[in-house]
Amino acid sequence: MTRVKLKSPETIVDLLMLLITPEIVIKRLTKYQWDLIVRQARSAGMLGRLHTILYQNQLLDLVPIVVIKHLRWGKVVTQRHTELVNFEVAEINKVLNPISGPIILLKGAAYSYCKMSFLDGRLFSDIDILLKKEDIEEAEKLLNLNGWLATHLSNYDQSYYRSWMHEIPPLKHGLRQTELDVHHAILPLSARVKVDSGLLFQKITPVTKETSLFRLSDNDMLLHSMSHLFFDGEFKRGFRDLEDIRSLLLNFITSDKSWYDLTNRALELGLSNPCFYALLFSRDWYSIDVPKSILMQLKSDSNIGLLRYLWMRYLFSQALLPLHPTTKNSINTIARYCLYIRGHFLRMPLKLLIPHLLYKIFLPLVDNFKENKKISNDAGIINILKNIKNNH
Amino acid sequence: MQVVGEKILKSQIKDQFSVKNYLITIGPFSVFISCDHAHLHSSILSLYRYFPLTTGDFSDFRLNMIRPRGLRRWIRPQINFSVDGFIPFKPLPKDQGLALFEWGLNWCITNYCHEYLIIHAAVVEKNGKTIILPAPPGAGKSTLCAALVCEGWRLLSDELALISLDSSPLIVPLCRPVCLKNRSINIIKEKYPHAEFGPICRDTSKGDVAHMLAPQNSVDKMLIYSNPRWIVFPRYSPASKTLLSQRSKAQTFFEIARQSFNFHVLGESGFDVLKEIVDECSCYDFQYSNLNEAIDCLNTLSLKE
Repeated sequence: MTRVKLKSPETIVDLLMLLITPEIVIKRLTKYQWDLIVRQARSAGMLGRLHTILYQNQLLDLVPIVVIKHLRWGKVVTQRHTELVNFEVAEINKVLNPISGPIILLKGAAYSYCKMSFLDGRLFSDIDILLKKEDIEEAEKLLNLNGWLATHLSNYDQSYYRSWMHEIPPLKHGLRQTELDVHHAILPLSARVKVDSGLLFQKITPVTKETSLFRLSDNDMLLHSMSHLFFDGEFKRGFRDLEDIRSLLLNFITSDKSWYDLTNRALELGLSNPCFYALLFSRDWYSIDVPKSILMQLKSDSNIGLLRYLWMRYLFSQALLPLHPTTKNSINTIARYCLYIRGHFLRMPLKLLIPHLLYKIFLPLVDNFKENKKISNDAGIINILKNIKNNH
Repeated sequence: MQVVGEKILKSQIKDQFSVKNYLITIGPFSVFISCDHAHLHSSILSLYRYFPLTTGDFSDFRLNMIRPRGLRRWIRPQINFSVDGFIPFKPLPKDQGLALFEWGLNWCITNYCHEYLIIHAAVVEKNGKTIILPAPPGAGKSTLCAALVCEGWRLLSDELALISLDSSPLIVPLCRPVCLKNRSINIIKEKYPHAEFGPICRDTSKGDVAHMLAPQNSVDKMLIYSNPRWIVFPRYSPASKTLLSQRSKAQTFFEIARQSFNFHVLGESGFDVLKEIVDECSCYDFQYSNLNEAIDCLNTLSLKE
């Protein structure tokens, strides 16, 4: 095997190497290294994932007894998540049966329901589905009638989601507390980059013959995951999300041609930029063999200049580290903050962003004021009623 | 093997605020404790003084009891509990550090250790017979548990009962200190002057809290798992008679499931184990107001076949 030079950060090198070449690394790990790996993997939410990877490589027997129990603990949780997600997806499929268009499972729901075993062991936070815009209204009614209720109730949040976001306000099941995001696009309507959902719908694949459930095409799944990680400002689960991308790449990219198809699709959807960074970090951290020409192509497609490239690469390399004391420092806290602001900046133009932020800051005050006023009005009415009663 | 107690004698507290680290075996777990507050650190050690002190490169939990940065480090000082950089609770006044440590360790066990069904219950054993005492807070479970332990019962657990997920489930002892609240503290201290206590944490969210140490012979047996025989739901109710009455298995099942910390995470395997354990055990409701009568009643139970 040719040794690929790793540009990965030293603090997580053992965890990364164990994910990349478990069969080689596992034999030389000391208890001390395992201790660090377990703790970093827990912070990254990847204990269950690690269990799966070692299981699929038939290496669990080589894990020390004291360590294996931690991996099993993680596996129990992810297994339960999978069961719950599959249950909910089946429910959603039933509830949304009357709508005419396809129901497309996104991210975790798709990985789990489509039985993509190479992604087993992930944790889920919520369920995401994509519908045609014309189906959204009916779908929302059907979901509401069947127990999925809106969580963001204020008038401002409701109108904000409906006018600018790529989804309706998040729903939560009243009894089971599962969260559901119903999308009509994969990026906000106000975002700088707009992805034509029509293009995505052209290439969807059915999950099974019986249901009206679909998933995105292989390339679109990859690009969705990439754009989610590198356009969004949230990096809490960045390390884990990058591992998802790496596993998707390992399974979807089967030939040199696949690389070109991916790049072309990225250009078509306008997602060359996140695709570039995702491939860059998959290469640097996970030794994925990304052809140099592909990276050059993506870089020129997305017009990233040298300075911006160096700066962004630095920020991402800091923000993608797991949130663990051994990797956390003031530099990556600042980097995460910068990227958080960038995420907002990409999500909406300044003329929307500034009023939004002001509103978010002052809204609690305005609400408080309204509430007080309402109470005093009520008190007034009660007084009047009392007076009437006394007079009679 | 060294125990924690020996370490306390050796460590004279000179450097008030240096970080000190210990690895203690608590039940099935090895717990690495880092503390930068000398007083708190010595009270944690004295609470666990009979537990084995180990060395090694791997620990199950790394718990930090560290003073926060900024103002609250010096002015009305607080203490933070964190595990691998994650802080599950708000910081508490430093005098409540010991209670915070115990709650923190509870948090780790209930959130991570899904190889057991974890229920909110005390577990004690006598004559080879083990009783699970599940109860909601305020039912007098800990008081009864402390009294039984002082009467020579072996302590397996006060707060968290760990049930292994095997086909014939066993209780895995934790042997952690018994957490007593408010009036129970004095009741036990007066009745059993020889019982060893940690310092009292005043005015916590649960009132005054003090921990009664697990007796040395219980700690020495903490690696011996045991088969439960009875599930008894204790309920202290003032001026009532001591009354042990049969409870239906179905009710027992649902009540324990409701009071379990990870029944919902374990899914089917949790259901199976709970069914097994409820099937195996005789189930009772236990009402009492007089502690002596309560102890007698359970002693008699332990002698029965």
